[in-house]
Amino acid sequence: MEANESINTRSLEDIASVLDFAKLDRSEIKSETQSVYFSEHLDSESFRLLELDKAVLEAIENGEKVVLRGDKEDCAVLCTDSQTFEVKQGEISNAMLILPNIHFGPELSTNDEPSVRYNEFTFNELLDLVQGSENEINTALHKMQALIIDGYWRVLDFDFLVQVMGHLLQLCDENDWTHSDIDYHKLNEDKVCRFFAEQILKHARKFNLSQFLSTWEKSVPEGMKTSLYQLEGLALIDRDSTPEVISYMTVDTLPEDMDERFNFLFRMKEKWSLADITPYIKDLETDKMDVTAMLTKVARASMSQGIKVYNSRKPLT
Amino acid sequence: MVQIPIKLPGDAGKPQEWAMIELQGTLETRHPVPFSGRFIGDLHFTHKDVPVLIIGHHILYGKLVSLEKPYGILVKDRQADTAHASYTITAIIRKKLLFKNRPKPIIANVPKKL
Repeated sequence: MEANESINTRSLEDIASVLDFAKLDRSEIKSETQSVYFSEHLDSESFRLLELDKAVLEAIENGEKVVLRGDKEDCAVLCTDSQTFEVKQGEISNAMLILPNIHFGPELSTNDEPSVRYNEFTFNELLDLVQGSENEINTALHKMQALIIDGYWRVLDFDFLVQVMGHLLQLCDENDWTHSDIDYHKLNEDKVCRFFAEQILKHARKFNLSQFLSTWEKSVPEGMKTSLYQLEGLALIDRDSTPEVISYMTVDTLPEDMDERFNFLFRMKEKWSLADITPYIKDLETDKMDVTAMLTKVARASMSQGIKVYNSRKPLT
Repeated sequence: MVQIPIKLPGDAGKPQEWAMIELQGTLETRHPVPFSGRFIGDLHFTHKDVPVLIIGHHILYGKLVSLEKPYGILVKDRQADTAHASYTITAIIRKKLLFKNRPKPIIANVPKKL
């Protein structure tokens, strides 16, 4: 077993080379391979396997009360509504691997292209890992622009998105869809511009603002108009430095704890306008506390060049 | 008397169906490293649906077995109060892939001596 292989890293080539090594011919096996991994959160101690007699299983499935009973000196028994079973602890020397989503031979597709299926996180497993409600997780996945591929939640690689966007724009161009009057054929200008800005900013930490603006304007498809509001929550503009600079900063890289978040933000920049800070704290809003209430709690307002600005109430740590 | 109820998860209806791979012996790594997240092996099926598992330098042929007594996966519910312990059946295993034959070592191609 290689030490550095982990989830997602196996390619069809890896599988092919192992098949080759094992002298197993592709023609002998079905085209779909399932790569099996240990869970990232391996914890064999947290569960027990219980062999279920037919009657017990039926009782459980019918919603009957099934209870383990026993005192210290008793053997444990398992009772359904009508029957009692002795419970024995068994030890098995075989290795037992539990797999939430494996597919057996007859369920495998019979297409000819070799393919691989990983044992990965599905939504239910996300529920096990993330401390949030289903709705919250769904919203977060949506915000991350995650999508379901073959039943698994995935986030597309940014460079791949760049490629796809390139093809898409070319296609639009060839068919003259860019200037289409039909609404549902139109590309979302704000989203496209934002994407191009991200492409420029992602690799440079800081950018001279005026240089950035002209590069950005030239990078977007013809006919599209860039505007600073499209960068909300994506980049931070520092107008106090000379020259003015823009830097890449997304909210998902910031601390989740409210105090830590504000501490981080105020260390970044001493004074914030409401418009500038909102995208970086909006996600912390609760029913009891909105953006303004949060700022009232942690920040002090003052006026600077006719704009209301906020700075930290307490000394930064 | 201690009473520990065993429940199905919420009102989700039927528990999920999971599967199992059973191997003779244990899995070991060459170096003592944690197993978490680590790759185990590739599982293939022949056209006659015989499972083939390739782990490291071993190839294993197994069979699909329906369990006469399915396994329930019991997870202890998190509760501060030990007097009210309970278990939830998160999933039921009705089928397993059993690899009970001795694994065949894969021998790399070595040049034959003439």
